[in-house]
Amino acid sequence: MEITEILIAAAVSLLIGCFVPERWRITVFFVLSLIALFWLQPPLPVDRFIWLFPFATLFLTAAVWWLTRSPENSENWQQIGLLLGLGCGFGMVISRPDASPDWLKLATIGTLGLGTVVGAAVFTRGEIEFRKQAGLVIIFCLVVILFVLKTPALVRFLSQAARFAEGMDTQSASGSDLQWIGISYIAFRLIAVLLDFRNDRLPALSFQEALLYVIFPASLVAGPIDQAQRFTGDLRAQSRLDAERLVDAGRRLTSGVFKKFVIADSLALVALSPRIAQDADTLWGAWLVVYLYAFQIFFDFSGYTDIAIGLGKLVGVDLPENFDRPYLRQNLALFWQSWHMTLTRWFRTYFFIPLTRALLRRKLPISDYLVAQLATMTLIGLWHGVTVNFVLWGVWHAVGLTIHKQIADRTRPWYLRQRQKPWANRLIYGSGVFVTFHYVVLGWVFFALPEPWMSFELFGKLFGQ
Amino acid sequence: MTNWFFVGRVVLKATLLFVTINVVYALTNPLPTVHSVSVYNTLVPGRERLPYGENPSESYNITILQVEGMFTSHILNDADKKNDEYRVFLVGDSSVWGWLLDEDETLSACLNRANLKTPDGEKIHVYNLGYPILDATKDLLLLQHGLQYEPDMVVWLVTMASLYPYEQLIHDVVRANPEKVRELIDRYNLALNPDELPGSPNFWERTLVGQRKDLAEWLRFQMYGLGWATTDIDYRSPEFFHPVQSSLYDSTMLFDGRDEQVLTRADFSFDVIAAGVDMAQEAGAEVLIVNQPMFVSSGVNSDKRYNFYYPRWAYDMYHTMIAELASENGWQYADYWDAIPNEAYTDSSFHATPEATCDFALLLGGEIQRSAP
Repeated sequence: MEITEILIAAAVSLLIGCFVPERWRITVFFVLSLIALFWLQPPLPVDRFIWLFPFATLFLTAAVWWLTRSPENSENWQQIGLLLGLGCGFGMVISRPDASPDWLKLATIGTLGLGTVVGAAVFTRGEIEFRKQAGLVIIFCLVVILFVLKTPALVRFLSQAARFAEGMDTQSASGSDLQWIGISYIAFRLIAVLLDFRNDRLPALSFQEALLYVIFPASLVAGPIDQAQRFTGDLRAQSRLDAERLVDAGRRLTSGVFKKFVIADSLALVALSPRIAQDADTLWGAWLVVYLYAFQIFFDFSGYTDIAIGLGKLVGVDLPENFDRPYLRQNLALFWQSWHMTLTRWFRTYFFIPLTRALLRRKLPISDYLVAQLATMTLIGLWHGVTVNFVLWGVWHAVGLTIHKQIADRTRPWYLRQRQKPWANRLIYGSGVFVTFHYVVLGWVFFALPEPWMSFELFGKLFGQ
Repeated sequence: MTNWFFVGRVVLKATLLFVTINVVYALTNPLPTVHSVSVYNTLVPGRERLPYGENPSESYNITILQVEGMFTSHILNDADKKNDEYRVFLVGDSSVWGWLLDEDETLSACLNRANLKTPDGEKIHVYNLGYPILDATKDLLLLQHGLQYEPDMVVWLVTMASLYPYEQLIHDVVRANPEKVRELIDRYNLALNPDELPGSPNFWERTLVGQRKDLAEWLRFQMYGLGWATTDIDYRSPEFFHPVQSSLYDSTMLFDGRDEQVLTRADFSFDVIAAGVDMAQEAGAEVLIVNQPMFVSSGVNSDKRYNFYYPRWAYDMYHTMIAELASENGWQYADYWDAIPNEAYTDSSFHATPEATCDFALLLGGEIQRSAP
């Protein structure tokens, strides 16, 4: 989100918080969130995708809601109708404002989408168990979508195909041509809904609530990933904006804008990038750009989170925190409990814990903790992009977490004794922060650069070779 | 307990503070002072040449137009003059600044590598004050500020295109410092119309909000200092460029459409050069005016034109005029118009390869040694 979009979103949120009566609040959110979904979709070279992606989000959400609906919310047809009507309208206006409506293609997409929902309805009217199985199919589809959109070569291929179909130049297709607004977060929220439903932990959600949970504008672009139960609790407990909440929201918004647009954007000018990794020709220079990157990514992401939380507060939704002084943590496990906390919580809940349980039931020749960490951290890496470097970044952290666990298990009694001495406690804390910070900083070398050889070349510079 | 009264007070105080800061800012005009605060020459080394960046993210450099800001980043700003130093400033356009050259390939870098000494045994240290714009008034503006750094000699490379009167006041650097340029026009009675310069900024433009872009540029420039210190890169040559045009168009016209085959001294801003010479001499510096090298085509229509920029008739007249003028005024003048072989030019009639630039530097170095007392 650019600063203009943030200011508009803050003004609209403030108006809603101050003037929209509580009973109308969810309906107003619903309509505005639909508008925001299309408004925030970035422009794309193939303009069909500008409205195709938001449409697909709406239809996927509708399908997931239908699969996971509770008996008391089974008849939200008027809401689905409103959704489709508004979606079509905004899609038309935003995607082709200067052209005559492309009714044929719109009708095709509408029919396909409606077919998805109706198909889901027909096939899933029966047993809950059957719906749970069908949910797995949707999860598989979402994973495939994520995999495709996060694999630069596949995106380039699809973009070439789309450009060819549109009669455009295929040579200029690139790996960033298909930016589906918020898909990383949308997919994880949808998967969470399906898995919660599968585990009988999903609260009864109306269609409006389910859609708002998935596309809540404040957290659409950069998270955080909330839990459906907590989010809907806030939605249902709507009250008029009070002074304390306004001050909180203002503080978070100001802090977020400053972190993102002043600190992070300034650091980004000279922080680690493929180009500066090649250009840096001194040992201290190489370390400097890596340190700058560590702070740039923190202030960028944490700034966006502050903005999201501030916007949420204005409309009565307390989005969860995503960062809690991560670079001041004395070990890697604590770092991951304070860095992108909602993502790690998601993986812990829906992947790591189930996997660990499954591994414990089988006797593996190697540490089941290492296997679970490797799998989890590799997936977290792949969530950022399907590249070798993101895998290496995940493996780097998995290895670090495993080493930390081994050391912690073996030194716990000694550590507990040392903690009684204040100076030793401070020394252990300080050295722990130093080591953890630098381990994380070196991990960013994989994260920030696109190719392994670039990372290893930079490691050479960092260690004086 | 936070209540609406508290919120009202916060909003009121914030508004008052915002208004007060803007009014104070507008009244005190702190931008030059802000520009004097710099990471260059403190946290990071100064730059070898004045800041100019068409591609900031790749060059770790941006274009700064405030003269104070340009100089605070320059290595000159922290260069204490040693007793045995003979300080030389190179002033001129992109050929001096070093277009398509790394910072260690420019004329000044080559001259410094040559470890030249004056006849008195002083070490000649050359500073690059070139700026990639053909505009003698811009040179005068930079020279005026640069003289506080006590040069012993100013070597001013000029060419005909830097002396067109109608192009003296159109470039960004000149227009971004209108008060200074007006002062120069008044002081040296230059034949330039000060009304063509932008007026003084209004109150709104002088506020913090009005100058937010200048402040953001200052901040970016400081950040790029870290990039410069890390990489030693202040300019990145494009991977591809069009080679200098040797097949010329069939015309004997100047760029402004004139083809009358007659030019007078009034057709050039020679008064700007005279002002620069006076100014430098007042500050105790020798001045060497150099008619800089240019590409001389031997291709199609080379009988009509020397190169893309100059029809033969016009350049020949300028060439004669500047030599006569130098002689009449007693200027130290060196004519190197054909000192660089044709094959050594890169993308324009004035930009040469690193090797040719260094060869020319040796010639220029001899001239500096001869001109030094």
